[in-house]
Amino acid sequence: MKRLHKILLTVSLGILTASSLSANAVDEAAALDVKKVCDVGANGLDAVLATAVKYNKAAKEHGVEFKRLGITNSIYISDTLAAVKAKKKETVLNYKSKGKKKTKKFSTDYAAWRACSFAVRALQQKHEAESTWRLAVPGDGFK
Amino acid sequence: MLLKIAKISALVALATCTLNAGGFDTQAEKDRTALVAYSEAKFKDADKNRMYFPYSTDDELKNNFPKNIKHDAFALGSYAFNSRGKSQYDDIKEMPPYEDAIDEGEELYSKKFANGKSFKDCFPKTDIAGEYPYFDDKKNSVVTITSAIDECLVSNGEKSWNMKKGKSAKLQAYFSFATMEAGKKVNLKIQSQAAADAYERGKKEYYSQRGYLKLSCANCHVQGTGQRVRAEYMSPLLGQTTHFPVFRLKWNSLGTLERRMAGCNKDQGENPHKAASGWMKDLLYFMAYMSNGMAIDGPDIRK
Amino acid sequence: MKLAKRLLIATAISGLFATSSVAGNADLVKEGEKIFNEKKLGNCLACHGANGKDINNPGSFGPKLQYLEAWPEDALYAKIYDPYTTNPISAMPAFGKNGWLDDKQIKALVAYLKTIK
Repeated sequence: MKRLHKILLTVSLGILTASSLSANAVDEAAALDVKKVCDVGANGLDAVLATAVKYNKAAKEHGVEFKRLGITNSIYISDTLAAVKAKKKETVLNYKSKGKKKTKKFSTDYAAWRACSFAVRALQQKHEAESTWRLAVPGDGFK
Repeated sequence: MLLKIAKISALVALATCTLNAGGFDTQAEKDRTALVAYSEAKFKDADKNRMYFPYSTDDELKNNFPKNIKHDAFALGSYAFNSRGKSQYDDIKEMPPYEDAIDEGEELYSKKFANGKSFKDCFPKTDIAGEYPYFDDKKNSVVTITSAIDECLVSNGEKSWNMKKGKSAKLQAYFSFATMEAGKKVNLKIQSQAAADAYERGKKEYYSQRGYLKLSCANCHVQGTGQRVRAEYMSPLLGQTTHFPVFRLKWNSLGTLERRMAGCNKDQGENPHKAASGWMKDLLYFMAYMSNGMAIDGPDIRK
Repeated sequence: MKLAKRLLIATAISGLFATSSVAGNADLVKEGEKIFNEKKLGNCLACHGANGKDINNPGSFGPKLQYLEAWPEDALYAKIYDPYTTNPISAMPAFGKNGWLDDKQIKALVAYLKTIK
């Protein structure tokens, strides 16, 4: 019984921590200068991709992950990380569209910059939307 | 004396209940009537009211958009104001491509599950499209027609169906058609705080800008109604959900509300939310409420 | 005489390396035009027509672009990079800030936009 209580407590704390970490990520991301933080030239590929990994995780948790032309930001991140590991200047993105396997190529620098921007901006927009969404509602904030 | 007190107490209780039932939908009604007023004002005379269409061409404002479009007419979507597109729509409606789907839906309705029951047991009546989505206080969640069909399958030991197309869409076509034939309207209620909260969540999702395009649904379907992306007119939120499931010429097949909304979500640059998610259900609850009181006119055709 | 000639050559060479302005660079203009018109690149024609240009079925979400040749390059760049500084609920995407078009691509677009009268 004591063991069960311990397990339940650990799990609940885990969930609480995860959700508060996720909420913190939104606030953290909101304070970033995305142009500076995702600049591959200034920060290097590793740092830019680490930013992408961190914030895209939270973006997924909040249901705001970006997707462009069939490619989710998760794919941008995983395939660019693989290219960096293999020291390739070109990244090949592997994705599926309408049931078919497809590829898209970008320079690794470009793919990393996009992955980072997509991750940070998804959370920043979530933050921004909190104060702007009512401006568009007839009957509520729309003039 | 006791009987008198009991009668008065019952009357007071009834009155309180009625008042409270009205209370939870106050904001939703305000939003809905404001949307109707906005839509009618916008399309009263597009050529004169150019502040709504700052970048439209003279030709479309003078010659394509009819005047004085009223509430119920918006159910036709962009065909309510795109009179050139409407003539193509009318031609296709002569022999609509979803007719077979309605018949197939009717067969699915009475087809027995392995356990001997059928959809008839879950849905005793068929003119029910206007009752969905509704908020289930016991489940503490919105129930869409798609999720209700899924629930019926799963609770009877059957495998789930695809929630965007195929059999579920066909069964929904049958329900929608039956509702239209019966002349029934969208008839949704918000009768609890939890339901009002679900409505507000859906409303916030609708109006929040999202994706790498940073577009809200409203950018295109409230403020953007009547404007064009390339040559495609944006349809209005008012009357948006009355004509589903929809046979989209682009898909060359029938699709549910969940299918179309996932597509729109993708067009915003966001990884689409799943059909069975709370996000999707709350969104559809809000959207459907905006068309409350309008006639069900599905299934229908769209580009 | 030799000095004057040297100075002249030096000036000519430094003139060749002046890259602060994108306007007038024909290749860049061509690339910008491609970005403007292609759905999978900038897709600007989805919302915008352009004065004096043969744009195929432009949308009506945004103004028909005109007199952009008079705009400062950095103003054009800023608008494409992030239009929300002027309108927080604009329907125009933040092509730069949101990771859609990179610095080179926006500069190419600016070169093209500067040819719009």
